[in-house]
Amino acid sequence: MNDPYLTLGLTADADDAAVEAAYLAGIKRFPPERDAHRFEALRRAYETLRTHRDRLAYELFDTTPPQAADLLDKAAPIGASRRPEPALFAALLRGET
Amino acid sequence: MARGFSDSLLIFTMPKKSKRRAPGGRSAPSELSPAAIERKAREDLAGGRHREAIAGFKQLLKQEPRPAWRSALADAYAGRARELVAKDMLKEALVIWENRANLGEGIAFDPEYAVLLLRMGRIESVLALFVAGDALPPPQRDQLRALLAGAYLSGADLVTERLPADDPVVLHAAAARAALTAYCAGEDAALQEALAGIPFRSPYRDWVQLLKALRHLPHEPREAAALLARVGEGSAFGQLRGAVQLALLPETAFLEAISGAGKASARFACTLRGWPQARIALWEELDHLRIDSRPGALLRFMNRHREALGGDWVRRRGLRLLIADYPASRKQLAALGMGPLNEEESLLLAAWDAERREAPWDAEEIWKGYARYLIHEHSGNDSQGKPSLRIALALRRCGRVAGTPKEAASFAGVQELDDSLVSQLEESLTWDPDDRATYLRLIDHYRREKRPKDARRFLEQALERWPQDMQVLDAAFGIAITAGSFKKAAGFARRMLTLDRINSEVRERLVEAHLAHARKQIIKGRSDLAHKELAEAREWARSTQATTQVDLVAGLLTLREDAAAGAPVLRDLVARLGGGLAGHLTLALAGEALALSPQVLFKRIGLAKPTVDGRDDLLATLAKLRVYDDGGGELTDALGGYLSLALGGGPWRDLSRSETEAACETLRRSGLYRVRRQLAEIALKRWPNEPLFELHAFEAKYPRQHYDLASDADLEHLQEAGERAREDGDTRTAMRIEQAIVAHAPLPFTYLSDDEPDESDEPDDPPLQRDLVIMMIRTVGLKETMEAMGLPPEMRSILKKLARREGTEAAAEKLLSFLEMIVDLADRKDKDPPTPRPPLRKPARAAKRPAPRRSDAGEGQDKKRPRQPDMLG
Repeated sequence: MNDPYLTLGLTADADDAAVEAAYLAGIKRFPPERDAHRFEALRRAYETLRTHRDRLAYELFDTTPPQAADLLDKAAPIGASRRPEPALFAALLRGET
Repeated sequence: MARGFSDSLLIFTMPKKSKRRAPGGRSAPSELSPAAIERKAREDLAGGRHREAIAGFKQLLKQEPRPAWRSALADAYAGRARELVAKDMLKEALVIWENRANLGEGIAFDPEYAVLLLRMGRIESVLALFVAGDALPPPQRDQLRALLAGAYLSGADLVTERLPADDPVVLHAAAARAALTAYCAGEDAALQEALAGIPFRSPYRDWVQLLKALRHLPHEPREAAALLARVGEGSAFGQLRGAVQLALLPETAFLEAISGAGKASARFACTLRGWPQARIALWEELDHLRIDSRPGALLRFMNRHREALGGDWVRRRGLRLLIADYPASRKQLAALGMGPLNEEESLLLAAWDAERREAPWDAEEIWKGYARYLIHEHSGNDSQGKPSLRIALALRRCGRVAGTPKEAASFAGVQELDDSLVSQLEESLTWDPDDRATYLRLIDHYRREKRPKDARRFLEQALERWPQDMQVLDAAFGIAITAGSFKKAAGFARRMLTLDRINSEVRERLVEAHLAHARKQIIKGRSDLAHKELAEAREWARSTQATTQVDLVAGLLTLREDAAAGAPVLRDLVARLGGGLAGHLTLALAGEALALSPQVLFKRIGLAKPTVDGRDDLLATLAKLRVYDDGGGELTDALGGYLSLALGGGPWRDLSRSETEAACETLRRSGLYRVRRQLAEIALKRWPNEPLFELHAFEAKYPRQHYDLASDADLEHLQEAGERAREDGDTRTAMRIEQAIVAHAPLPFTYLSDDEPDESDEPDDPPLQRDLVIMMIRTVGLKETMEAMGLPPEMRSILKKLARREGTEAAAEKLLSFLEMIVDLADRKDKDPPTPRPPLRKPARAAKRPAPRRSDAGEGQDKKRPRQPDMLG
């Protein structure tokens, strides 16, 4: 995922405090020992958006095209983990791929 | 084996269309010998060409029912069946498995056959295999049983109805299904209880591990992974295990993995990771389109889902998708019904495109234009309403683009760009005066440009805004040192130490500031103040290096005050430093800082001429020279000559190859050309024709770049060394050799030489060495090339403007055309009686061009650093 706003779960009008709060919440949820990749992504996103100047610089100079993950996160963010339905178990137990 | 069942199955599964003939099929029997057929069939089998292998072994079996061939045919059938399953051609795969089963006795049962039957819902067939499989080895029978257990859990109650009541599949069935129900309902206590009812030696054993693993998700992925590892590769629950493993992958790997996984596995894993249904559906659409790498397709997709993604987001992020095909992509938004690009978007896109093309001149112009656009657009607003920060960022962006290493190495004349950039950086501070990095950048720039007043102007502003900032204080310290304001420098260092008391680097710098101040006072004859500064320096000095430096300056001060007392102090110090050349050099450098030539100093303190005291002393001396050079020190002729004499007798042959290379490099940087040449020649005897040492020998022979024209023979010799370096893959040396050749070859204008043309020259030789000009531009830059050629200022100005407008390549091409035109004119004039021809213009930079930093004494080179009056009088 490229979009740091999506990584931190922020809207485009987030201010310094919101960015910091989202970052702290994120690293609490995904400490490096649990998910090093996610932690690193959160850190990068925070560095990108930390100050008003940073956020404007991102808006003006970042040319990274959106990726599939960005689209998914924007349209339908990941929610809480769910337990699969018995039907999904049945499909896999039948040998479906 | 269940031959009857297999036969009946064939009736249902045989495709109605005629079978495709295998290559080299019945109609054209092979004329090869059986051995040749077998060899080819085995090669096909090993190479994964299962259809060909099947044909080959079938042909062999017609000739003779050899068990080895039948076994090989079974392997080929199994391979082919797996291929078909992978292509989701399940019916066709089943036929192949049946063919394999029909090969008769001696062919081992393959559980994948049963897996396929279950997948196709043929539970009864698997039950039949199980009932008929009494003779199967126990592991295979257990596997079949586990498959049936899995089938039961998938809803096939037929399994427990058909199997005997005392079969473990039936015995543990209720607990296994209760565990599934409890897990799905989130009832962990019930799950625990149900799992406890399943013994270890049960066909549901892997099922237990899987459910235990799932219970650890999402918060304990490591524990889950450890439990999954207990489920073997060939497990009857392998498909389920794979899906859970998928869910454990990191996000980036997960997206790639689900793209290759089946629908059921992907959905299972996505659910575990908290993907809502809408996200799964969107992913399936994206995956189906496989459009990640096509910007246009992705933009269309985004536009289609504009409602879910947000119109503003789609437009902002969608702009980034237009860069790849810019400028053709400019109309894409309008074509998709998203409205045309507005002026701001157009400017941004153009700027991004210029950056992508790595065209700093264009990027600079466009970002500047963008800033002007913002200023103009908001001209009616008060300062609050202006997008000041945005304007400042755009102005600063030019510097960032041009400041990349790529730009520095490109053709462009960097100096002019710098001037323009600096004014933009300064302007940016009027829009955003709170950017510390810009102040530091400007301070650093003016310091490097030796414009202390400008540097101080920005330093004062920065100090006012950030009086306690380490970086700002560090810049202030550096400027004070450069200006010789050592007292002030010490003050800044103290302020830094107040902020960070244990910063050893700052502590060392504070000592150096006090020492520099002490030296200044010694030269001015103020011994009292020098003692005071030395006492301050001693108070802060902790490292051996720092205390030695303090001792050296104190010893030199004592020598000035009382030669009889100072001489033994300094002799002891040299002895403490090892007594060899390295020790002498340390004292000599300390003396140099007080304008004392080594000859005078050593004579005063009664030290004999030093010699190199073995290999270690030689290496220590070289190390000191490197440190001195790194710190910006330059040897005077006096010290250089003194060192050359001492180093000339050094044990160079005791150095290893890498030490010799490093030594040559140090001598180059120190400007000790005579010793460097001597060392390079020694090295070439030890490692003949080695390109790097050839380069050192050449450069040491012709130390003044662009001024020492090398002989043709030497140039040719070096050229050959360069070719050898390239052949050896030593690109760095090859490039250095190319640069040396450019620097020492005659200038491209043959008539710039004062010599009369050699009549023996080939008449067809082109007078302009086009390649050489190109190489020169690439090596030193357009601006330097123009200056070296002595082009008139108006011509240089035209070419610079062209470079800014159309790029340096275009300017280089124009320069070449211009040169060719001049050469043509010269040729025409040459038809008249030859007259001495002056150069177009004296090389403009001749006076400014840095002379070699120093040469070995006696070679009559300019001194870089003027000697101050001897402090000892």
